[in-house]
Amino acid sequence: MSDTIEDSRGSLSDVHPGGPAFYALAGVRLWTKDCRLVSQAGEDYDGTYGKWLDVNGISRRSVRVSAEHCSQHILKYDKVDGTFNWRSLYGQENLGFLKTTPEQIEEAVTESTAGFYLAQNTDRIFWNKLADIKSRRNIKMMWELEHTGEDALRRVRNVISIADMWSLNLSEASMLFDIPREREEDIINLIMKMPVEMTLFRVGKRGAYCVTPTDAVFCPSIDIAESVDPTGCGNCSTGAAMFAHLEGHSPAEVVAIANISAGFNAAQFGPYPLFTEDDMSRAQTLLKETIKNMAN
Amino acid sequence: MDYLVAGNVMVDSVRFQDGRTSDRKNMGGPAPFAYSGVRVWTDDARLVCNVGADFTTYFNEWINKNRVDLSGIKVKCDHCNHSYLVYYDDGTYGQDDQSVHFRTDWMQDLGYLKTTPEEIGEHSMNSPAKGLYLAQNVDHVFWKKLGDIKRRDKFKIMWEIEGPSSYSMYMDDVLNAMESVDAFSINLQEAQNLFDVKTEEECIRKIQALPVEYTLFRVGKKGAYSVTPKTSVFVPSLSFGIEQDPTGCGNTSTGSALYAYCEGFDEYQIGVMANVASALNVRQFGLIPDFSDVRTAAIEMTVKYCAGSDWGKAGIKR
Repeated sequence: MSDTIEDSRGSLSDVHPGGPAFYALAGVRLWTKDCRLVSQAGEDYDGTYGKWLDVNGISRRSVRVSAEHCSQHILKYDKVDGTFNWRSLYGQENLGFLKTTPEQIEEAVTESTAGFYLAQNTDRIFWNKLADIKSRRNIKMMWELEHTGEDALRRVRNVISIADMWSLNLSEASMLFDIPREREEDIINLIMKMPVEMTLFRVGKRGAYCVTPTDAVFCPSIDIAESVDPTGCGNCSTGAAMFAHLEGHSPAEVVAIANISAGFNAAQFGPYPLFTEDDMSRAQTLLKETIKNMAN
Repeated sequence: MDYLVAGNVMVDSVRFQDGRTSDRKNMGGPAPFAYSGVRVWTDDARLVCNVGADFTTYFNEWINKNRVDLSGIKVKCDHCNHSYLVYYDDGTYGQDDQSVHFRTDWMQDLGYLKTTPEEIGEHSMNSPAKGLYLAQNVDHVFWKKLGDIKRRDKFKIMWEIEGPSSYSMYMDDVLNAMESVDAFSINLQEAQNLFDVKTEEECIRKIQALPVEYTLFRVGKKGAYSVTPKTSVFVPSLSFGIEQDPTGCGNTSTGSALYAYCEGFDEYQIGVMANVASALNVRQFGLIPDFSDVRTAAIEMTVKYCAGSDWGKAGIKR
C-alpha cells in the first residue's frame, strides 16, 4: 500500500512504499534478516517495494503480483492531535483484491518460521482458517487491530484468543473499550485481561506500553534523528515487538525494541531505506542504553 | 462442465421511486444472474465464485431446487456482499444512500471476494469448458493471466465490461483485454461513455470496429442489438407478462448470449435468447427461481420469434 502525504496547503509528497505489512517487515528487519513479506501486489511494486526488498536482502518469493497497481493512499495528518484522514487512489475494491489470504500465509511458512504479523479485521471465517494454519504449522501470530466496525469489542473477543500477541493504539483502545483516552490505566487494566501473551499498546508520540497479563511496562518514544513522518510507525513497532517477544525478550526489551524500530521509521518519509550492519549494531546499542535508562 | 460463470455474488435490496421495495434481500450479483441466463437453456454450468458464509442463508432453497453445482464456490469471509440499489424513473439505477447499509467496508470485501484467474483456471483445467462469463474491469495483470489460461484450456470468453472501466480514457486498456475476449456485452450508458458518442447508431459503428466476434449491446427496456463486425440487428425486449424488477437483466441476458454464441446460434437467435432470459428474470425480485419450470417456455418463445424472422431461416439449431 503506497502512501502520499498531503500537507496543510494541499501539496503532495512523493509516493512512498508503505502499508501495514511492509512497515511491519521494516520493523523486524532492523533486528534480523530472517524475515519475509507475504503480500499480493500490483506489478508496479517492482521499482519501489521490490527494490527495497532487494537492497535489504529480503526474498521476493512470497510476493504475488495480482493486479496492475499496488493500493495507494493519500494521507492528511492533523497537526494538532496527529490523527490522519486518508483517501484511496485505486479504491477499496483494489485493496480488498490484494488482501493476503490465509492460504498465502500458509504457503510462505517454513520449518523455521516462528511467527507472522497481520493487520486484520474480525472476520470469523478468515480467523478460523488462521487458527487451523497456526495449529498445523505451530507458529504464533501478532495481530494488529484493523477497522472492526460496529459491535467491535464483541467481535474482537470472538477471535483474539486465536492470536498470541496483539497491537492497538490509544484511539482504537479508547473506542473499543469505551473509555476516555485520558484514562490510560483503566484501558491497560482491560488489555491485561485479554487472552493474549503480550499486547503492544501504542500511545502515539509519547511512546508505548508492553502489556502482559501480569505487567505493563512503558517506554517513551525514541528518536534516532529528527522525526519527519509518523506514517507506519505503529506497524513498524508492532512488527518489531513480535520479533522481540518471539525471541524471548523481556517486556521492557520488547517495548524498547518496538520504539527503536519506530524511531528509525519516523526519520524519513516511507520506510528506513537501507538497514546496514552498522544500523543493526546501532539498534543493539540503543536497546542497551534504553533498558539502562528504563531501569533508573 | 460446458459453462463457467465467474465473478461477484451479491445480496440485493431494491427500491423504486414510486416507493415499491422488495420485502426481502434478494439473491443476485453478476455471476448468479449470468449463471441463471445460461441455466435457462442447459444444466451444464458451474458458478466459480467466492462468497460469505451467509451464502447458503440466502441461496440454499434456490441451490437445492435447481441442483446448483457448488464445486466452484469458496467461502472466504463471513458475509456475502450486500448491495442497495435504487431505480430512477428513467430506468437507470445507482447505490441507494437512503438505506441503512449492512456493513461499511463492503467495497473492500468486494475486492477480496473477486474471482481470480487462478480460480477460474482450476476449473477450466480439470473440466474442459466451452465458455466463460465474467464481469470484469480492465486490469492488465488480470487479463494477462486469464488470457494465458484461456489459451491453455481453449474456451471462449464473454466479457461484460464493468461500468467504472467503460470510459474513453480506458479504451487502450479495453482493447488490451479484448485480445483474450470472443464476445462482449455492454449497455447504452457504458457505450456512450466508452466511445464518447451519443446515439445508438454511433455506438454500434464503434462496437463493430472492436476486435471481438460478437457483442450484445443492451439498450435497456427497449431491448438489445446483436452486433458482429459486419452485421447489427435490433431485438426488441420480450415479455412473459410480469415485470417486477429489472435487477440483473443485463447479466442474465449476457449469460444467455454466452450460451447461444458458444452453441453456434446466429446473431438474431442470440439476441432473442438473451431477451427471453431477460424476460424471465424481470418477472421477480432476485434470480429465476426454478429453471426446469421455465425452459420449455423459453424454447417456445425463442422458436416463435426466430421462426418469423429472416434471421431465423435455419430455425433453432439444437
